[in-house]
Amino acid sequence: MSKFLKRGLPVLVIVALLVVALLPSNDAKPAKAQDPVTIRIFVGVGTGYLPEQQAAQVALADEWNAAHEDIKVEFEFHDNETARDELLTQVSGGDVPAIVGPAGVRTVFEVSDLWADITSYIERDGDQLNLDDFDASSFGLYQLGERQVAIPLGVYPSFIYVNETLFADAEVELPATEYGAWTYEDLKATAIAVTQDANGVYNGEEGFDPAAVEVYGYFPFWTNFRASTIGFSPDDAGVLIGEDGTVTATFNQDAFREAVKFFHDGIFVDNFIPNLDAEGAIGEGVTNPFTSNRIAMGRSHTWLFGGIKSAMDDGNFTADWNVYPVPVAPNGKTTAAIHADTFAIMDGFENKDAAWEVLKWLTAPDQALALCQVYGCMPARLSVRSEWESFWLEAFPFLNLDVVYGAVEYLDAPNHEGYMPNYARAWDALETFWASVRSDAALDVDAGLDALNAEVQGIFDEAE
Amino acid sequence: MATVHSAPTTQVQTPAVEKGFKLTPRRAQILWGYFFLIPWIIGFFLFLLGPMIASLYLSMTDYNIQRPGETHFIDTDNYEKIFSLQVIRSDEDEVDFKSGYTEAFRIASLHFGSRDHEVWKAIQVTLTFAVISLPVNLGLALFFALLTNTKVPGVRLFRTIYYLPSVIPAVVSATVFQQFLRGQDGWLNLYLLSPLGLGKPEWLQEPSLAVPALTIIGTWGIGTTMLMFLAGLQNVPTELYEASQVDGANYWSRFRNVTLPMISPVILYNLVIGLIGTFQYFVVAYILTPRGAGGNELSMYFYNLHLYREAYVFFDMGYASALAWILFIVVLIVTILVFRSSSRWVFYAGGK
Amino acid sequence: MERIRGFISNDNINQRNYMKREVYKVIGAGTLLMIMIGIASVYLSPLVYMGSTALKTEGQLSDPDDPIIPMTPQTYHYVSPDVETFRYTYRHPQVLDYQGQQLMVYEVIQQGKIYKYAFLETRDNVSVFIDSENPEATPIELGIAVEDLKPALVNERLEVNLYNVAYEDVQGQFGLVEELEGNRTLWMNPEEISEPPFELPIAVSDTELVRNEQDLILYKVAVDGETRELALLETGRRGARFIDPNNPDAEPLELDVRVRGLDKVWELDPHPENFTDAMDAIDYFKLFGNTLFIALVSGLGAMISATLVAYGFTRFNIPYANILFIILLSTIVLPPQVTQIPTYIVYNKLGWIGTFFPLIVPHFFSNAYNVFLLRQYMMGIPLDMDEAARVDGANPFQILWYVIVPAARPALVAVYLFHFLFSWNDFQQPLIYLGGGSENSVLAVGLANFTRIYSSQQNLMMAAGILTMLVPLAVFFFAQRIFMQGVVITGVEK
Repeated sequence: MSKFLKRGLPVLVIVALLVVALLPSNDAKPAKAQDPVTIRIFVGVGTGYLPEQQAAQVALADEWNAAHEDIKVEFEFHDNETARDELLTQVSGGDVPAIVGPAGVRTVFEVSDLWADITSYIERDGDQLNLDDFDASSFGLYQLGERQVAIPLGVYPSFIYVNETLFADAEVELPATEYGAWTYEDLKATAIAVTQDANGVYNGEEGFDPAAVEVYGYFPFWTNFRASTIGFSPDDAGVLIGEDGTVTATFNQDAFREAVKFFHDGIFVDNFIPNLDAEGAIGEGVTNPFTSNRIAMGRSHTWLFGGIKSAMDDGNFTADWNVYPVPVAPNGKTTAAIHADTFAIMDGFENKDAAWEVLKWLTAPDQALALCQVYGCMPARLSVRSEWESFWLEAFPFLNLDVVYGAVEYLDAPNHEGYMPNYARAWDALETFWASVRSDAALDVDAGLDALNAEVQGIFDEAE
Repeated sequence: MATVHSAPTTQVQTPAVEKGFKLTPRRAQILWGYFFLIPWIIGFFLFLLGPMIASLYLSMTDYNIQRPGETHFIDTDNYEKIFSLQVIRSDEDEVDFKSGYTEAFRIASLHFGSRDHEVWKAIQVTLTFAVISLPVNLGLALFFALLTNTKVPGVRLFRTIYYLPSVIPAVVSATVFQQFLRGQDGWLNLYLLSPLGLGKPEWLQEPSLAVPALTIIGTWGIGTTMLMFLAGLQNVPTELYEASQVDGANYWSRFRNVTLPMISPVILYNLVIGLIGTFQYFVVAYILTPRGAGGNELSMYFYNLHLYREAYVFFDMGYASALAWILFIVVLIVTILVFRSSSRWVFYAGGK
Repeated sequence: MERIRGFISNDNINQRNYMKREVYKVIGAGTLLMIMIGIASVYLSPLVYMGSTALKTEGQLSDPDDPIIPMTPQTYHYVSPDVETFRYTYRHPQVLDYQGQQLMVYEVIQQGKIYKYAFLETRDNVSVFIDSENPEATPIELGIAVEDLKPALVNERLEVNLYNVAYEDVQGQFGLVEELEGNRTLWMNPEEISEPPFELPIAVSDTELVRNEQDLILYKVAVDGETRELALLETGRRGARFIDPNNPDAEPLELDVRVRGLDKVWELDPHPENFTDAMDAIDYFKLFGNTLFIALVSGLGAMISATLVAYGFTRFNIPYANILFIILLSTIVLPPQVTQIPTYIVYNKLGWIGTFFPLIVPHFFSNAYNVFLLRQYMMGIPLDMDEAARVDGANPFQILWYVIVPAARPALVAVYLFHFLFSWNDFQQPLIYLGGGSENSVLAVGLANFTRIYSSQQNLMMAAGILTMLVPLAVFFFAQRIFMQGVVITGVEK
């Protein structure tokens, strides 16, 4: 084998390279001086790719293209399910998009090597950008060590969505509307009281059938391990970064134990949270699980507004609802997970100056507002916040905006999607464990978390 | 490979009086033969060979999709990672080989844990699936083909119906089967198992049900294989049946002595293609559970799923390429063995 | 002896045997049919699921009691004696009461925070502000003109009763904010919640209450041993209140029932408009055209090239045929995931990304699946046929055309059919080479549009899925005729 490797392989490689080199190449065309640069924006790694969202973005691009001769902007839409593979294929295949977005914190950290460092651009054009205008809490989300890879576009604070009609039916008092006024114990008691089976029997009453639950008290849907547990206010979101740069996994700290027990017991002992199998049944065929009328409470982010609005417009969701604050964790701290979206320039794209011009324009107040209305985020630019409020109050006149803004005050820093070494593998290990929490009734939570922490630590160490 | 057939032997050997090249009928035959292969040869060099060699080369590098600029040649490290049979436990006394196949794999992975923790699990799942699913699919497809090769009224409609699930677009069928297999309100449980008093198993959460669940899903997609068999059945000359009927042969012996040999070329085709497909199987499992986990175990963790994850989830394309080439060699060897054995059971009318 | 007797022309026995055979035949065919119908029902179930889902609205799908046939619970339109209320958020400029002065509050953005400062005065081109959170602190001087600032808004969450108001040209449904002294009232317009309330010189008694109207769901409820259809007004933890549609003005019936355990009164309610909606959502005809074009053209290439190559492999005794054939097969043995990126590089170099070329051209150079299939068939064609042609002086092309192609017709149809169907449903390659969301794509990729990150539209996806399947199914249904003729053709040729 080794002889073959040493002699045969180089020959084969040369043959292959020759074949590829002999192919007519389209990028060898001499570029004419007046040829405009095309800034291709790859949309789909987050939101933004839906047909009804596309039009607004294309309209923005048209606006830019009408005003600029030298740089042209083109949005390229990809379905979220497959966008990641497509992006990786394009990048490795030498067909690098200029800008990728809207991208969440996780996407930015997961493929952190793909992004260009824009620190020097920000320093150069700081005045033009009016950095004061960005929500102070949002800028640090895209700091990768020394590198700043993006300007925040919008944030998605999270809170508890409550189906008030289900509460009225169950004759259960609605949760507190002030931050700090209710705990996870209260949430559990409330959730149990509104959980109901297919025969209309409430959880805790005689004859309640846990195998046929129709209304679940609590379902934090579309979420992951770190997002679900962050509400229990663990230190450092589980990833302790030392001053010398060493990273320690702390997923076995008490806050995580409390959190995982809360969910595991909530699913398999107290039956007010759906298990993995039932999650699918609730999501079946509906815009989002909340509008199924089968969840009394669900934690989610502002992006849900869009889905609820379309369900209400179509007449598929008529219940009374509102947003309520997240509860206080057993350790006394309140944490409301926040998500964020942005656009980032790809490191492999050659004309970064042109890409930067487009990035500046995308994150300017008017464009940020237009995009946020499409994506569902709250603009990171403070100067357009009140326009954003008006937009949603038109749709939901009853919406409790105090809860929405309060959530920003309690956001998670460090973020639950923040930096981890060897991100993709660490994330995967956490999610595999999270799936077993939701499907394995016999899971030993403490032992599981210890094993998980050791595994994640191993993954961190592998990255040196 | 014993499936080569001598071409017509009517050529007259012209004695080579002159030196140099002379277009003898034999040589003309060869040239014609290669001439007809030209489309494939061009395509092979243009589209296929380059990428194959590239992946072979990548399998000896630490190529990471995220950092293509930092690729190093690392010799056979990736291969050693798969096969690094370090002994990590040496409590031989615990070993109880009687407990069988699964246990043997568990022990192998415990004792000779390669640096890649999941690869042995993946091999086990893939082999189990191949052993169960391939015969089930081939047998069922042949059964359906025989069934629809009769003259029952409306047989064309039945054929279309049996083929129907195969044309459901993948995106849609993934959703449909997810709904079918759900424990609480999936159709399989709701309309078939529950009425029969078999309860409501959670197909995708219960580790031991993972391979059966995927096999059941797979049987919906045997339309293509069925059609291959049907086409093969059309090549069985009716006079052979008539002759055997006159001989008073019953259905079973007719099937064994006439039908099977006559469709053996199609069986070989379906077997080889099925083999290749089964070893590369992962898309359905991936859609149902992206981490290959049925419940708390990696019960849907297929070899190719492992490969896909290494490449596109963890960006380690170099290692994924090494995994691919191991699979390549194994499947190729099995394929060659099948071909070698085929001389004993495949019958070609055009052959000797 | 018995046997011999059977051969003696005993009409009676022969008759009986004949009858027996016929009966067995009928029973056999019947059993066969039953088995086939049984299997068919299992194999139809995915289509039934798709069809049922495609005809429902999201509301129907999310109902846990939702039957397979698209149905909606019957409702009863009920006008209640109660007043209609309106919950809203009233946003108005914030005003600070500062030492008896009413100061307007503005949003001042500094270092990533919004401060709410009340404007006091302008002194020497400097604006003086009072911090509204802390009015006692020393006034803040800033070099910002008040005209450049946005007024800060207060959000007041209110609930009002709605009345039908008619006063001069003010007409419509308005919410009562406050009753003022002297038969005056303060109103708000639910259509414009940000507008300040307006005053009218009328009393509440001059207006008419807007009654709450709802569509109540009808349930089958057992009352005193008799099942009645009642409209659910209000659910309680135990028991519920119902309205009898036959006597809506009566007091609501208080019944001790669990609403979720009751059956609804269903009525058929299919939504075929999902099909047109789905078609609009993904530009169906454009994608359909693309898909059809790619499938037809590449299928042609696949069939022709595979015929040539399989002919080369089977009918000429070429050296190294076995090795070449294994190399051919090996191209499909390597998992495509690891060749995807190098292949992309090749197509990118060719300038083919974003075009149909990568989906069509390679098929003109044959692939292992088709060649292998045709090889298996061609080897089943007896050699004496081309022998005869050769003796007649036919060249290899003529033999291929006049002998092999007719004999292998079912196989050729099979190759074309399979390639067509493969191409029709191929997802990965069009996705990578044509791009996901673009209108330049194919149906299989377009379908993915309905699976979404924050929502899914299963009904539309199923509708589009059915529309996508129609062509392959029709092609299959009709192609099987050519396909099943195989036996006749080979029989005749022989």
